[in-house]
Amino acid sequence: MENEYILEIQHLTKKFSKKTAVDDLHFSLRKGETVGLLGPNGAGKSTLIKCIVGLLRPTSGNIFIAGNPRGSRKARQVTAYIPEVPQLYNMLTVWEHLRFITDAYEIARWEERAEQLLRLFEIWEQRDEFVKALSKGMRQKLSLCCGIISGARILFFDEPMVGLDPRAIKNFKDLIQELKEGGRTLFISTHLLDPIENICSRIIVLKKGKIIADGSLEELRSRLGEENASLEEVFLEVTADA
Amino acid sequence: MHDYAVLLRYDALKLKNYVLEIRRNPKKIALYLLFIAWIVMIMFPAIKQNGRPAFAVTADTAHIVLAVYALFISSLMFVSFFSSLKTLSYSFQMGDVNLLFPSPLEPNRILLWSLIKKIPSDMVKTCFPALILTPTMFNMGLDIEGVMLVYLSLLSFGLLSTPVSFLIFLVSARYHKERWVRGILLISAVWLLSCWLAYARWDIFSLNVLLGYQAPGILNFPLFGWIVQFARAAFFGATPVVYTAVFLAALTALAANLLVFTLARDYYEDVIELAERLETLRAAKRGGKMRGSFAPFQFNSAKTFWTRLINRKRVTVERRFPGSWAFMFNQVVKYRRTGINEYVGYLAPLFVIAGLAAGFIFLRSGQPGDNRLIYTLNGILAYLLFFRSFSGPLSEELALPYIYTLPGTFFRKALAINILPTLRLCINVFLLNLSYALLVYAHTKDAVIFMPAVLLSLLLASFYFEQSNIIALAHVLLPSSIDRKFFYPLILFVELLLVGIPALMAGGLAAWLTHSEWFVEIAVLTANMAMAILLLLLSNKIFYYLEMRDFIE
Repeated sequence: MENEYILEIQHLTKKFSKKTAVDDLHFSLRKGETVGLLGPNGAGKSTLIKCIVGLLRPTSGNIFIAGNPRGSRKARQVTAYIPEVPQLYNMLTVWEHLRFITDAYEIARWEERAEQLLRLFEIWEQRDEFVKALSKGMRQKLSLCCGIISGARILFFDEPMVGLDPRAIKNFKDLIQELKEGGRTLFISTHLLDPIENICSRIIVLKKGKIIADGSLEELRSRLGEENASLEEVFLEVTADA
Repeated sequence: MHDYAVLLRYDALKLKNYVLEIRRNPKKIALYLLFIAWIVMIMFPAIKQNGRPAFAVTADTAHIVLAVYALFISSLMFVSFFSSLKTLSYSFQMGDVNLLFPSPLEPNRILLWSLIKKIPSDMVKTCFPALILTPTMFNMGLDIEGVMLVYLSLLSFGLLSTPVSFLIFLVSARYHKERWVRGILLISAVWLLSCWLAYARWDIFSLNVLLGYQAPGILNFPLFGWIVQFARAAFFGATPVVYTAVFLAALTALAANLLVFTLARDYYEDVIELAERLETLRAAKRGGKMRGSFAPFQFNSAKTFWTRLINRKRVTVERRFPGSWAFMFNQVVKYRRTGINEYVGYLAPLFVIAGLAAGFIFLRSGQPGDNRLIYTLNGILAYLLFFRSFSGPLSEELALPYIYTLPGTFFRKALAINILPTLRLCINVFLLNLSYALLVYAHTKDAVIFMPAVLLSLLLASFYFEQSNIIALAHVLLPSSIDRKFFYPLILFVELLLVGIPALMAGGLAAWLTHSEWFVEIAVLTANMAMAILLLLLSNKIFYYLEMRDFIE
């Protein structure tokens, strides 16, 4: 029987010297879920994502992606990572970046999709320009395109909307909807609560490296006893110091 | 093979784009042409002159040069190796971290490809100092084979250090054998030191101690011994042992790279921090915000080691710095954090030691009343200061927005930035010259020696202050970092004129009028200070017309 979970995290701890950034996290993601990862600054969100995609080594615990241990080729084949800061190759053009990613992920017939994405994010005109000539927002758009074109089954977004203009945020939300409908699993770490309120089927709130809330928005609302609370109000309530 | 094909294709593409970009940018083409012309100007007369050395070195001089070289290489190697016990000084681009690392490509293949790519850049970085020194080497009587052996020595250092440091890190930190590796390194260091001293018969208070580098226990020691052997062969001829060492060095480089490839697992975390730091530096450099850094990673790791060692003080500064003097606050914090206090750094004892060593040499071989040694000492310092152009606190502050946004004139701000560094240099030079003078006075009881010691210290401080203001002027005249690079030789020439002409005129006049070397020095000192103030006033005028965007490219 096929595993229903695409991501399994078992007692994950990550320490930097004496500081514990991620503290004994244990959760799983079902295929097709769209999960919002929230938390105050320094909660461990980026560290968690970097551990999952193989950029950081867990101090203890296990991570499995599609049943494969993190860092393995099979795990990386189904994973895409969109970093917080869009630092890309300065000496490659926009189009060459997409070609590079599709080469690495061995994706055939990618050109049409690439054009569609670049047009959606309004950087089609800049396709032959070097990345170093792009603004920060345009780089962020390209970074999103690189992640999405990989065809990965699970995508990890670290603050994907930082630096995007309102139209690009709207397009990003539409794209997320499209990816959801396509059965992709999405894990979105963000501080911008309004755009993801209606996107995510599940919310995980981290604080000081621990999960302090996990469930759908409705579940979190009912736990707080406030049926009409917005995501922002829920977030402020659960992260408030006792 | 798919992984290597992807990596090769995209590096080739980057290279092609880089060449196209150079062709598109005429300033860059001119810059590269100037650089090539400079290399040709250095190399051509030197090669043409081959066979007619300007000053042939004696065996004694060669031994001194080789001993200093051996000490330099050993310090670099051991600092690099010891710092590799805990941290890795190997870097990738942030593009690699964000795009390549999370991709399905195998991490150890990415690493092997990166190690191979690093070979040419390591070669260029390590051979660059030798390139500049090539005319000197020919002038010293080395033939083509000798010069090639010097290149080989530096090349071996560059090509061996990177993989061996990586290997040390892997075995020590990733395979948890730090105690073993540290032990091996310590035993090696003690062995080398013992061999050196034993060969010199423990005569540590004479120049004979320098001969110790040629102990068989050192020359046959892996890595370090081979590197020194190649340099030694440049002066004394290559023997079959040297060719064996070449073979062994090549074999070791190959084995170290392959071992790194085999042992490196899950190494991404170890390289990310440095990649992020270097990306910040590169971005700052691209924006013209930092001085250029042309440092091979060994120097970076040495710097990291040193910074970790001293840069951990918690600092509190009670004093207030109103208005433009706020810039001084930064200097006080920085110097307190990295030194004994804001006036005296950890290098100060070295100046005392250097002064005492010079005094010691004078007492052994100098004549009473002969001040040539102290002049030479200060001359060398002035020469080094001259080539430190464009570094320093003022050039760093000029790249940040605060110099535009804080209240006050540029004159005052530049003064606030420069006062403390000038004072520190002044103290260091005083320590050097006075320790020399005190030692000489203790034996000769001739108090006249204090006069040049004090005057030369003040002279050097005034020279430093003047130079800082020339840097300020160069920055406000040429805000673009590319322009500054382009005009660098011209700036150096102008700097020489600005420093030299007033000093020569004032000094000449004083000599003609008084026939006293003390008055000459006082006149030069006054000229330096006057020129420094004048230059600062000029920068102040120009700065008024500058916009901040001029500095941000």
